[in-house]
Amino acid sequence: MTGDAAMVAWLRENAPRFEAPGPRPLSPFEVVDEAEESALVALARRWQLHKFEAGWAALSLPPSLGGRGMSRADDVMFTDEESRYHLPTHVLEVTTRMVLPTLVHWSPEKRAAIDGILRGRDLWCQLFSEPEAGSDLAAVRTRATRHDDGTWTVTGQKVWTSWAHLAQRGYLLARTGSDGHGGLTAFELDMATPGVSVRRLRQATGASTFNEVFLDEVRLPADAPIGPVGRGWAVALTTLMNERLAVGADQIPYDDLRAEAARRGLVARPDVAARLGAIRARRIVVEQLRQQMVRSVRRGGDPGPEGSAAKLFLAESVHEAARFARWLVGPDIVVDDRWSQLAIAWPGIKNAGGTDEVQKTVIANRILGLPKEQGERWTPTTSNTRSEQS
Amino acid sequence: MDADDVEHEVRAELTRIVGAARSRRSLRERTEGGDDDATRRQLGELGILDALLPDAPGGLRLVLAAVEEVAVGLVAADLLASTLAVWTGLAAGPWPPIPPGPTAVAWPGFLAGPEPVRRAAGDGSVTGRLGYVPAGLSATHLVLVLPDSAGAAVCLVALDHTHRQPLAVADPSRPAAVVELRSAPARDLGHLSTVELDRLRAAWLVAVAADCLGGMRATHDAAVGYARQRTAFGRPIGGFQAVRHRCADMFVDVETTRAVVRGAVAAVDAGDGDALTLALAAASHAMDAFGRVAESSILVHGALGFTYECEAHFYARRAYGNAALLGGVDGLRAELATV
Repeated sequence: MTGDAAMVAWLRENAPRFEAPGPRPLSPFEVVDEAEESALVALARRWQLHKFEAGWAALSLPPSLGGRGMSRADDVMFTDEESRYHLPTHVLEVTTRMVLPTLVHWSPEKRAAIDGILRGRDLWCQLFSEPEAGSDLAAVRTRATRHDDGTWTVTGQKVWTSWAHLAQRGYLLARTGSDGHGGLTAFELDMATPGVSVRRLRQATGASTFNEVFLDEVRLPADAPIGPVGRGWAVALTTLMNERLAVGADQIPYDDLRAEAARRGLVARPDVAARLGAIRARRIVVEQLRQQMVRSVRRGGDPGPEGSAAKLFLAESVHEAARFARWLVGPDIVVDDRWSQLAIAWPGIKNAGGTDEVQKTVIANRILGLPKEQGERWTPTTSNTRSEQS
Repeated sequence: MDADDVEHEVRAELTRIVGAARSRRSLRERTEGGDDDATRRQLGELGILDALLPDAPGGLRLVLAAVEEVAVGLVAADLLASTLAVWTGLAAGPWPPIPPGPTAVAWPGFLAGPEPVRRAAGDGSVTGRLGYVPAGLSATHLVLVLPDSAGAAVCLVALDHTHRQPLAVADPSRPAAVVELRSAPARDLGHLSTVELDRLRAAWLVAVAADCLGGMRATHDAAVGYARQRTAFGRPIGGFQAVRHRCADMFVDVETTRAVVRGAVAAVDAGDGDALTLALAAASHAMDAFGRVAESSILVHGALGFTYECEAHFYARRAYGNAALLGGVDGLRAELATV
């Protein structure tokens, strides 16, 4: 049995027992009440622990950290197979797909933190964006000051932080030096530390997956930094590179749109079929882009700035799906339900992980080599990250 | 060397051949002067025509790489027509010993809708008027696909005694003829079941998608090159955000098309069960994206883009023509929602 076949077989055997009740959400921003959310988090943790105990939670980690020493490409393949089931993995997406690879790369000595993620014990949030630093991540102002004994005090405000209301631990980017991206350091933060307060934000759909986080003279231990002090920018880039691998076709709800069109007896209309087919084609394009990134990672590269093209195309596809949903349900759009929530959910995908405009500037600068804009202070990445908004 | 390395080397050589063809004559001169025999001979020497044959290992990938690369320069327009003709004939049965040279295919042919061609019950000769046969002037033979209740019969018609007229085409880089068949002798090549027709249709679709990809790569590169060098208001226009973002949008179209075309080619090559689905997605996306990229390239070139001094409009002509092939973009999308 090949690795892939073993993966598929194991998931087929195990995943159905951990599937969430009800239909799959049409977008990551569909409204769930607190009881449902707690149940999903508990289920997600049980699934994570089950995967870990069976050896499927950390394919790309070295054996010394409890992994199998395989490629990042294998992680992505597993994630894709996993996404065929209605598993509540989205609440652990920041934890397992962003924070975990970052910790492993920069701070493999943080064994307890890595173990806590692998066993589904800890849920993390990513504290990057601030009211004055969205796409322009180098403008982070939250300040961390080191004391003589090596411990730290942090003060500042973070925003649009996904899952902070559920998280035990935070991955914080703060300023420890001068202005610009040279003065940043990444930290591990216990969210129960005095001075950390979380206020939930309500998104346009009515859902509440992200938060404001206030840090008021929060004390951090001397071993809190992730990676070297002053290298926070490089640490964040590792995270953002992994974020590119999060571009998934499952965010384009083709099957649901097709089923709803059929229920309304509209698929026989050539114009309706053509719009549906265009959305299916977009899904297939995203799948193929993803496979191309996986091949690149398997050859030892990284997803590269081409990930910006994938992100732009996915976001536009989600918008197109939303427009079609609005057309499809017609006057039913006045009712607050999953369809009207889908219709208003698309900006969440557009802005998360860098706005369209920022992605296009990344492409113009780093791939096309076009002349810089006048007065441009260019920092070569995007923040306002998907993991903070999804 | 694995298949990827071979393809890489062949593409490098194709780039050289296409570049040489472009430097010999401008696109405008070429479109006014007809097909380029030197390019055809070089493609033959590179083995592209041999790769069409069924026992050529990795042949499909190499042929499609060639279709894509010649579309970069809008040269060797008969390659696509010959490819579809030979594949269609070979899908039905052994290829007969005819002299080498371009072969046309009755286009759009059965794979997009029946042609108005009748076949005589007695001697099997064919009669009818084919309104659009790409490469129909330079070709020696024509492959005809004649639908029946169980699929389609495929036959070969020698063109030397048929009545052919050049068609005034909107895309001059793809010359075509009107072919009048009057009881023309037709040689049986075999029969295709509906399943075999689906498989063949997938190959046609990826070939057209590859043609779109080559064309859009070229016209995107031209736009980016122009944006770097053209100055206005005291700086390169590529420094203005609106132009930069237009170029980035074009890049997204090119890269998404590249990914889905490569995936579809691999699926068709491997005979995967989802090959037709992937090919429909690749062709409909490529046709649509090529149109956007070609139009953007004209706009980035400013007023120059609206003249014959600039090649951008030739790519738009190719894009508009391609988008109407094989059922057209909306037809392919509707099919994708129902397969």
